[in-house]
Amino acid sequence: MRYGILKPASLLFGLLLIIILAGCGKETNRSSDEDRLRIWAHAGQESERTVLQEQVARFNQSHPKLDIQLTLIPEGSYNAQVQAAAVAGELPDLLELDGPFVAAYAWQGHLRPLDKLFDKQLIADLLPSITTQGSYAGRLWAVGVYDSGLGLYGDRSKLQQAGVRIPSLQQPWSRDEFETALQQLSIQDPDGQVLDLKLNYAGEWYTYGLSPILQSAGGDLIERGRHLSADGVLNGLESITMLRNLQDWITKNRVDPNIDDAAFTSRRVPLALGGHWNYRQYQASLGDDLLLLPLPDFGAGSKTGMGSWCWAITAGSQKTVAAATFLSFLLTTEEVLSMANANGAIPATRSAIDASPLYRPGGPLRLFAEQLEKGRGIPRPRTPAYPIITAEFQRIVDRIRSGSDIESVLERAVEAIDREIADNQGYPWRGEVKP
Amino acid sequence: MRATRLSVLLSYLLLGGMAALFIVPLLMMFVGSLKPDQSILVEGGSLAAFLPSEVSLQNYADVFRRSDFLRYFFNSLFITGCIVSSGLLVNSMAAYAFARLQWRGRDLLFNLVLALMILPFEAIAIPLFYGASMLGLRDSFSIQIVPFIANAFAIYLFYSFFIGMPKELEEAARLDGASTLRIFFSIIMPNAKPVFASVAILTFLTWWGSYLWPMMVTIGPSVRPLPVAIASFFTLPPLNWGDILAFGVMMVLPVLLLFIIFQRWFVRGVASSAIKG
Repeated sequence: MRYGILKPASLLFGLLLIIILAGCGKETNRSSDEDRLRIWAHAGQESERTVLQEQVARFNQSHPKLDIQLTLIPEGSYNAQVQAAAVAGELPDLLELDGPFVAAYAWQGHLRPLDKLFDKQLIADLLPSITTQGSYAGRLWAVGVYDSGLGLYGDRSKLQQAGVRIPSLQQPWSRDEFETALQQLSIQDPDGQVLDLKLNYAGEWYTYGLSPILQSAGGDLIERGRHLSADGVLNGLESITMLRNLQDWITKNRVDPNIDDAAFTSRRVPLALGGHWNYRQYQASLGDDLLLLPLPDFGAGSKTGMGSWCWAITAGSQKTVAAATFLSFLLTTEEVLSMANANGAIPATRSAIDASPLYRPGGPLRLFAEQLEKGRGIPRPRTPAYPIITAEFQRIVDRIRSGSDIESVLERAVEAIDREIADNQGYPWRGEVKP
Repeated sequence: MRATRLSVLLSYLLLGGMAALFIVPLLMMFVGSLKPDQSILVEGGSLAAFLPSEVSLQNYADVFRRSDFLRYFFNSLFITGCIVSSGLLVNSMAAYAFARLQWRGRDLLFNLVLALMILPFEAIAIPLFYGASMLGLRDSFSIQIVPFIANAFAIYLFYSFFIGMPKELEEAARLDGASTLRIFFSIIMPNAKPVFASVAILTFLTWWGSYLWPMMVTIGPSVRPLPVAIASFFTLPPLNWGDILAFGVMMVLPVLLLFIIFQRWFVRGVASSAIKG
């Protein structure tokens, strides 16, 4: 009885002790081993994860003096977690980034330029879109092992039934032709909905998938010289006209809301805006009827999206050479192909494209690679202000969908973007670069 | 008489509507977790959302295949369990000291603790984050536990309960020679089960679903809790909503179980402590 009261107390204090002990040691393996290279990547699709883990194992086996320690971080919280680690000064040696965020990380001084770390032959072999998306302030900061493809998928039988010309990269549809095609296709369609813009995706898809339409009409998200203002561009006449067109397609019931994500595969619509990742499912559903088409030329030429996940070496890394060695390994033709074959994306190097069954000349997705080789891909704005630009554009599309007045929506967005840029004094380049 | 019936009917309608607001999302989540992906969004806007046409546990199997669910579950259980158990001890003892013991500066300190209640966590997240970084505590269990053991609201709840307890019991024990600690553990604690249950449930609810702080301070899977782990399912669209809902169901179940187990005490605690406002 005398010690009875101490029983619960000692149990609870014991628990506290466990907590303290648990907190004393780091749960992750933080080795001081000089040969250990810490890498963070996004835990994306299962196939990508598996290939990356296999690549790390292969590299570790072929480089016994180096030890890659790979940490996979959830995609949904990746950028926030990496930003927090950057603020805490705890970035790893090598880091995966989503292409449009490269400028922000470089401007914040978290990255190390790559241009002098790779041999010129390797850089020359990269697709222009890879070096474009990874560059900022005249330096190359990141390289991807694959890029993304964006185009229109078409249902050959339905287009032929409607008497619509099949466009090509050399001769894409003009604005009038596209409008006429929508009209003709809708006449034959039971509900008149003939276009899938993947409005069910929302989020970053809006900027990636729909801003090339704006750029094809001569509009854009921001002025591309110094990236200091969206005024006169995002709210310019070309942008207003194009977005009004987009709103018309929606209000005139030409666009399938695609709630079930099966508008194209169930053959409800004959045209679908989509990316390389849709190909396998679409091919399985439509077979020989599947067409891959360029986006229409709305006045300033047919454009497409670009940019995907890419690798960067962090400014604080003391293992630059080892990190560059691993990156060069990832960029060998075999490794690029193993990743691109797994996720279906465009291989980052011309040598790998030539060896890819999907992207080599005559391959079913050749158009995606050709678009990027011909420079039709428009990078999402390479400025540290990109997060606010994409957030505003996503808001614009949402409001357009709900029937808001386009001009006032754009004015509000321009005001928000310009205010953010002004608040940051135009993001002056501080040139804090480790050679 | 008719007016009374009408008011009862209206009350039931109102309460039924309120209950539906809380139950419908849970029911949709549970039923959705048993459906194939394509059906979830298509049927989401109709009554079919509550009737699984094709029942399958495939989504649950996918969760275990696509993620190390058990590890994340253990992490969440460990983190929340430590916060709750340590918090019950620390906060109840602090509250007892404020409610019963006489010491210099007690009232001033108690007022300061009360003032802390109005500070949302988001307001102190950044300084706390810098502190954790400077101490090199990021990416560990301790940084997800230690800052949240002491809690102003829990202290206030305990204080409100203790202050309402009759002093005679303690005075009798003290006359019998019991020490303060003995009084606390042998007299106060056994008579304060409802408030302990209330604080345990409220603390568990708060930290089981916590996302912002773990997202800021963790990186590796070894210390990753469930709310951050579910973010792995938010990949390139289209999303597998079935997997996300199945993950959600498995994440919510422990909370429901805990509530069911402690419901009786919790209701008494709510009725007798300051939660009732």
